[in-house]
Amino acid sequence: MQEDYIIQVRGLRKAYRTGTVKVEALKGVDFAARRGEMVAIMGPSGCGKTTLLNCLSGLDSVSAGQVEIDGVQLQRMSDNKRTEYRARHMGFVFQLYNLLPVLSSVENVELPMLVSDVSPSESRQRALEALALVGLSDEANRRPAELSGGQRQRVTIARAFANQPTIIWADEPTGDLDSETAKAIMDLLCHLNKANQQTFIVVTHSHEVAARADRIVKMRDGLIVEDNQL
Amino acid sequence: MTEFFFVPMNLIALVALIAFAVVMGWLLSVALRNRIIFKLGVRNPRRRPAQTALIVFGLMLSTLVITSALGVGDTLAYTLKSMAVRDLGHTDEGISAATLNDDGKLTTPRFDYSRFERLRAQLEGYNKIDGLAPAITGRSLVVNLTARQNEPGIQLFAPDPDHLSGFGLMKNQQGQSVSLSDLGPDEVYLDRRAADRLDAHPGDDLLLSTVGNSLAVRLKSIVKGTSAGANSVVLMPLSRAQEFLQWGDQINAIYVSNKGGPLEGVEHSDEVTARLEDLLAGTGLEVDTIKQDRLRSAGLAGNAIATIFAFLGVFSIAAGVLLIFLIFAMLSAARKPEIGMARAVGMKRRQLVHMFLFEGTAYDLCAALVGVLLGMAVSVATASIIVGVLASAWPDIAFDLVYHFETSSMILAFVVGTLVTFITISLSSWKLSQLNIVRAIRDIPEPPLTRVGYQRPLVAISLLVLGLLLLLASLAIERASLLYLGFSLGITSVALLLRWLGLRERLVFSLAGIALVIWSLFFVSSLESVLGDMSLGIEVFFFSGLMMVLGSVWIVVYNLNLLLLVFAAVLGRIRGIVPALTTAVAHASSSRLGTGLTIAMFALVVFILTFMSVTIGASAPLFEDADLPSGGYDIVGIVPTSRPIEDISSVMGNATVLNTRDILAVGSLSTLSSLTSFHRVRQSGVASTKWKKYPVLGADDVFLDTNTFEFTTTAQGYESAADVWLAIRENPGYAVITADAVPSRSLSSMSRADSALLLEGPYRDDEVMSPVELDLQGGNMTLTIIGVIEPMNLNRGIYTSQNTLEQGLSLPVIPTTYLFKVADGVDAEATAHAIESEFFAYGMEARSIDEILEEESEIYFAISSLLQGFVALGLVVGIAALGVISVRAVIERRHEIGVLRAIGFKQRTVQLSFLLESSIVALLGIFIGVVLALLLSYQVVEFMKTEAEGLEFHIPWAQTLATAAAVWGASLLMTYLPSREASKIDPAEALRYE
Repeated sequence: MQEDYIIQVRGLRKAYRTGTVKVEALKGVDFAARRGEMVAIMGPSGCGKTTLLNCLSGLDSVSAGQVEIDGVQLQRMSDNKRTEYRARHMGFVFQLYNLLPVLSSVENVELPMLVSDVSPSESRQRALEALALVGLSDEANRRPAELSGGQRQRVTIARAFANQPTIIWADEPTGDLDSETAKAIMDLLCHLNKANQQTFIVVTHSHEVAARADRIVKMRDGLIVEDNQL
Repeated sequence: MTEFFFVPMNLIALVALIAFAVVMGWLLSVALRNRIIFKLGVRNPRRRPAQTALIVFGLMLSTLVITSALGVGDTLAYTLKSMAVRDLGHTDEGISAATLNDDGKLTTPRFDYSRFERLRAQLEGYNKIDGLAPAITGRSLVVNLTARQNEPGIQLFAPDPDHLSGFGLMKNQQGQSVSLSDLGPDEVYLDRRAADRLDAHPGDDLLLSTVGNSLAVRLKSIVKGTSAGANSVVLMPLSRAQEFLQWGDQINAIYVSNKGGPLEGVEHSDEVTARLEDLLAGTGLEVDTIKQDRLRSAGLAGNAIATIFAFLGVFSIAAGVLLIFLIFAMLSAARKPEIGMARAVGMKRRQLVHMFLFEGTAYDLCAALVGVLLGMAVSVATASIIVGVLASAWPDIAFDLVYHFETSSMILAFVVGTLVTFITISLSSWKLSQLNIVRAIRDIPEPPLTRVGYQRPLVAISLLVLGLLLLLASLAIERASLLYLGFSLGITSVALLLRWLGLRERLVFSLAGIALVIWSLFFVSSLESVLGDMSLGIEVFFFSGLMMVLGSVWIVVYNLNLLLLVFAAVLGRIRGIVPALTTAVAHASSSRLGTGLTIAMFALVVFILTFMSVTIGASAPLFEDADLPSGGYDIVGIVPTSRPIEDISSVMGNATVLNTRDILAVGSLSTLSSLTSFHRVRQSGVASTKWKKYPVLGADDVFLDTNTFEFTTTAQGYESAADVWLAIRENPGYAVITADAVPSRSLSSMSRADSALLLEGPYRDDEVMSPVELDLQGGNMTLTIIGVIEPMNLNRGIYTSQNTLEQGLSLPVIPTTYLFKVADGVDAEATAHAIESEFFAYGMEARSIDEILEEESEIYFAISSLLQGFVALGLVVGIAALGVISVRAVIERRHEIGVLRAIGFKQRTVQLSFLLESSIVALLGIFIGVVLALLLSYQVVEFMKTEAEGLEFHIPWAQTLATAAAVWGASLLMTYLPSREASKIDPAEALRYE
């Protein structure tokens, strides 16, 4: 049934130029994800995983095809509307944490709420709750440089879901962590996925991470070559 | 410029040149030994031309400021010198009888032609003189009957045409040589300036008029190259002038031309003067080194102008140095990964420093060259404006602006500019070489220093020693600025030592900042009690400005988070602005160095601009209160000595145009000699025995009764100004003097010409003075100075009674200046016109004091605006710094912008964040600058009131707000383009290249 899918992609193509070379990163991808599902996207380096994630989240434009997120076609929106949509409905977790080094943990977490016009006091309240949920209440006023890798990634996760988005995009969320911390982070992501029924699209090289997902999609040369429901 | 902050310029130039040669020689030798490193260093400027242009622009500002200060001084000095040479031609010295005859009695300054012949015979065979011309010279009223124009101040110059060889050739407008011998019996020449003033053309009928004599003549030609020593000259042969003046065979001057041309001759001036003085000893004739004096005065004037510009430029130079440091800090940050890689593959620290030095020096040399060229352009514009203002103020003087740059000045500016930059580059290079290789490759910020190295205590102890030396020096040479600097350095060194001992950085520097600000304000507010006998120069205000800015920036930078809370609280109420404000505030407070340096740049320049606005504005009332400089009179009327008014009451009694009921009083001042208002005076009982030229004015009883001049100091026993004036009236020989000839204990004046009169003993800021005795040349006359008139006097000079002059000198004195006091409600300007009409027959020029003051205030404010414009050049530095920071920030934060865009920052929010960040920095700098300037200028105005009563402190709100708005606007404009570029960054692309 169509209404089960929060993400629907048909014939998605993405090409870009690197110098004089035209690179076809996505060569006609068809993909769909259900609400509350955790999907792992795997594949060798350069196969188009991150490009797919960027196109789906509206960070990047598409060359051809259709992307529908919760019934909305992002590529038809203006940049402002798309950005607004991202702020209200999406969260991001990146491999290198991508926190603003000049902001404290709580300030980093409240930023997406502030741009979504949530009042500063409510943003602060919700950010502190999110940090408490990832076990970092005591680190709220510390800057990223003062935190360990695992703690930083927890802050990123808190930032991603504090605004209660419907979809969370995670690009190699454990790529920079040791195995023990990586496991803890995946535990956290899985817990949040189950608790909040948010859709998680996780790009990863790690089989351990992928094994925690509901579904594994494998890519090669800009195409989905395998789609396994676990 | 002869000295800068007490250090002789020659020494600065010598040290700078040696340092420059050493640095360049060392760099060359390193380059020859390490050609690869050299090539690696110098390729960068070529690889990134846009960045190179930006860096060169930033680096050249200090050199530009130095060059323009020196260039303006050079041009003005050269202009005044060439005007002297133009007016004097081949004339180097003048011989006159002054006011002494053979018997040692004062008389009219004429002497027999035979004196000249005797001297000529005595100089036979003397090869340092190539011309000796007897002449009559003096002021004359000239009326152009054809054009119906008259001018009272035309110089009559009548040399003997038979003795003009050696004085060059006079030429007419067609460029043909002309001679006085060519003139017919009723013909004269005029020089260009006199012809302009009289609107005269060849063939016009003129009337020359002096005391009791008139002569109708015709203008034959307009000439140049008169060697008369003045402009506005009417020329005729000596014999004709003797006839006209009924002087028989007498003359009043001998002109001397030294061997060589108009410029070279002056080199022999000392020798020739000594020789002439030998020959003239006991004859009553005196030698004036006219050209040498004028050239020296021109040099001093140029030096004074250059010094003022250099002083004002100090703030811009300081801001420029900070910009250089910032540019290289940014450059180092941008190169970190590249340099980390270089280190990883085997480049040594030393080689890294060399490479960076080569690159920096390439920028440095280009920047210094561009700075010199643009500085020359700025000084051309500045000098043109100054001369334009002066020319409109003194229409009688023909200003011929000649642009001139001394090679030594330009080399000095280039060398000093290069060295200032080089020192900063060296520090940056050394700092860069200390980086951690892995952190550099991964472009991870260096962690904050947890351990303080040996450098800090070393610097602290050096500063402490320097401070102590300055304190000792201040006691030895009694210079207040050294005391101030010594103590300020002490505060700074203690802060560094406390930090070294482990106290928290924030606490230490916040307290040191507060201490510096409080110490500076205390020092300036308690000058009189602090100083004692120390002298105070203008530099103390500059030093205190610099130190207060340093202190404030420390306070602000170490407490930025608290200050920024205020910004956040105020602006945070605007909902849409909150996310941008959060990131802007966070970035501004995270980069202490960049933010601190940029705040300091803005603060320095806004400080000096506001300080100037307040102090200039404070002096405005001086131009509004006509009573102060005029002694309570409303109109001044001047008649030429050739047309004295014998009985002004009778002229007034028969007035037809003037309503005499409008006039309450008419006082008069007489000049001593018929040819000049200056006289030679000498202070008794002091080491110097040199006669100095100074105006001596004889006041009539009405003036002594009715003037309202006050005194800065008087001799014991006088309770009021009226007592002093009464004493002058009743006691022959008593006199007072204007404040320009009396030193101040607190304010040291700029260097003066040797010939300027400056009394020894009294100080104008003391309450009581001991009477000073002055000899008037003429032998039998001593004046006792019993008071010093307050500054801001329109007529400087020694004021005594006309009776004193008449009785003491056995000479009739001639009133030439009449001062009219009008009734309340009477229009002074209209009355001045009526007076001119009434006294037309006497050639009186009458002007209302208000009109004169208005003209003077226009000049004052025009020059002040120009100086402010020059200072505002420094703002370019601050604004450029914001541009540099913004451009670099966009590059450095590319990835971060990607993240922000991903989590929901719209394009305009990203842009707003950048604009807010630069606004915070600019506004903090502006705020610090304005507040400190107001605090300091208040103290300065209060202090200066002792020198010039009437000064009023008020805040020039309109100008201050306009400056602040302009600076902020410019900083927004400078950040706009980089911020727009930042907002256009594609988030996917920015995130892709992590």
